[in-house]
Amino acid sequence: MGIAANASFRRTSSLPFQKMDEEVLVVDPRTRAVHLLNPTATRIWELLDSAHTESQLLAILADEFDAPVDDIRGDLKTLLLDLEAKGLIGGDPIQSDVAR
Amino acid sequence: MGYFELGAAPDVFIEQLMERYGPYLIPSAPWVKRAFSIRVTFAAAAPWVEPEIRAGDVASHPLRVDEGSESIRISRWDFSARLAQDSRTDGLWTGDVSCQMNPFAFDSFLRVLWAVFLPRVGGALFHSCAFRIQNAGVIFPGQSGAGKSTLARKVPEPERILTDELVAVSRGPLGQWRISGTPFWGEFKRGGGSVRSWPLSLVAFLEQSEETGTQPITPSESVFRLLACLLCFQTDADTAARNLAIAVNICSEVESVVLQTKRVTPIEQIENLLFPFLQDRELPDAGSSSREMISEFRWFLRENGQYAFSPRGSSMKPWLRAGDSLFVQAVAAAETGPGDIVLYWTPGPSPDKDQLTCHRMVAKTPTPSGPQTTQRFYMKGDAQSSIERFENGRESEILGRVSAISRDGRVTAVPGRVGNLARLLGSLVATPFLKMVGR
Repeated sequence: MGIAANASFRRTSSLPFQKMDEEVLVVDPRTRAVHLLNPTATRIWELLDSAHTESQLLAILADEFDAPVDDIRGDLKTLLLDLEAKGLIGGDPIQSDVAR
Repeated sequence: MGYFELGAAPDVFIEQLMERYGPYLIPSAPWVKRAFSIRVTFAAAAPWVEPEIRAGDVASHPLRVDEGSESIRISRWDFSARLAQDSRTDGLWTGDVSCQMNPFAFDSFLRVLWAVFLPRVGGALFHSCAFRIQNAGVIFPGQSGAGKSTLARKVPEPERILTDELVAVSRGPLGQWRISGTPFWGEFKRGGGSVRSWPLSLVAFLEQSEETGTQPITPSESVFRLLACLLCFQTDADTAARNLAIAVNICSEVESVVLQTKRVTPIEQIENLLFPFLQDRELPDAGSSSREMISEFRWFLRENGQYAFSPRGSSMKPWLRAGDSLFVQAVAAAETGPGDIVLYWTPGPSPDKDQLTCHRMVAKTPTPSGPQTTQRFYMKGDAQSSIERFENGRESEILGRVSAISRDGRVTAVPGRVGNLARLLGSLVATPFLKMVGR
């Protein structure tokens, strides 16, 4: 399962969350599930306050973590798919309709 | 604090409820500040039906909680409640519940009600065993099967155990987190005996393990684990945000660990593991209200049949002197009579205003109260001219009768009915004289 190149993501706005130190707790009231995001996922969660494409996220994270893009591409993709599967983030409605 | 007006039901059923919830009741005086007032109507318990039909009924009427700013609706196949907030009465929630005459149904309703109202004062119910180590309260959250009841059974002193199933966590008057027991115990057992709370000093998440030890965890990890044990029936975002905030506050202010034990790990070893993490364990407990202390006194009195009590004040002079201790016998109010020196609990508007009074009974008279006749009691301090009156269980509750007095190392039995009546007569005559001479 892949992600369209120009698909953008943003966090699901209705989910209560709280940042504690370097981690974020996200609660999904529909499923009563609680998610604890590690520091890297927390940074992505913060970035997805506004819509970002995978390539935009990749560029920002590579810069911030001083890591080659190719090294983190796979992990980022896995994480985005995981967050999307859990309903924590969603595709931007306008761009994703076009992209998918 | 809430008020329940129980509807008609067989005595045996009401007695069953009183046995279970009585330790958590206080006299229902109208001036006691309360969050809700609910009239309970008991419907006949559902007749026996084939399990498949019952399962269908249950499935088609699952628990539903709709909580709004001005109304709360709670319904399930065996109970249905509707509450509304009355702005004219200081935000009091009032309403009715229809509940099957079945202790399990009523208990479930109370759990839901508790889970709805506790967060409104910044607290929550958690699936957790809880007990105190000295004055430090410890909660052991865990899902079903984590070993909560097993751990509670290991504590030898019943008065140290708050619950083995659901603990109430809320802020005390000093702003610290405090824990108190609930009537909700595992497997519908009855346990606990008072509304006493203790400062929450440690959150210890239970894990069954082949190893024994403790692992400190971060506040975020603690919130993650604690939320999984929070009792909540709503699925809206506002409630989820509120619960998250409560858990974050608890775990930011109270240390958390994972406690790994085996089923056979002795309690002494467990407490030794926890000791280094307990905060303020040497400090005296500050924050227990007089209501909590009296409630606990009632529990001990009932458990032991008698209990010692050191009164303060001068309202029973000259019969009582500073430094005296009294031995109080647990008795039913009906067994007391004029002349007896009686200990009774009078609640105040708030928990810190409750009073435990030791006065002499002047009289008791039958008083119509609805379809029943109750007793009205008249009490008086020997050195006072005023007479207090109350309906037992309503304005005040009689806890016991003084049977002996300890003074200067000697214990003397309180004289029998004749002697007491003589003293009562003396107090009635002497009081105006004492007042006249300015004593």
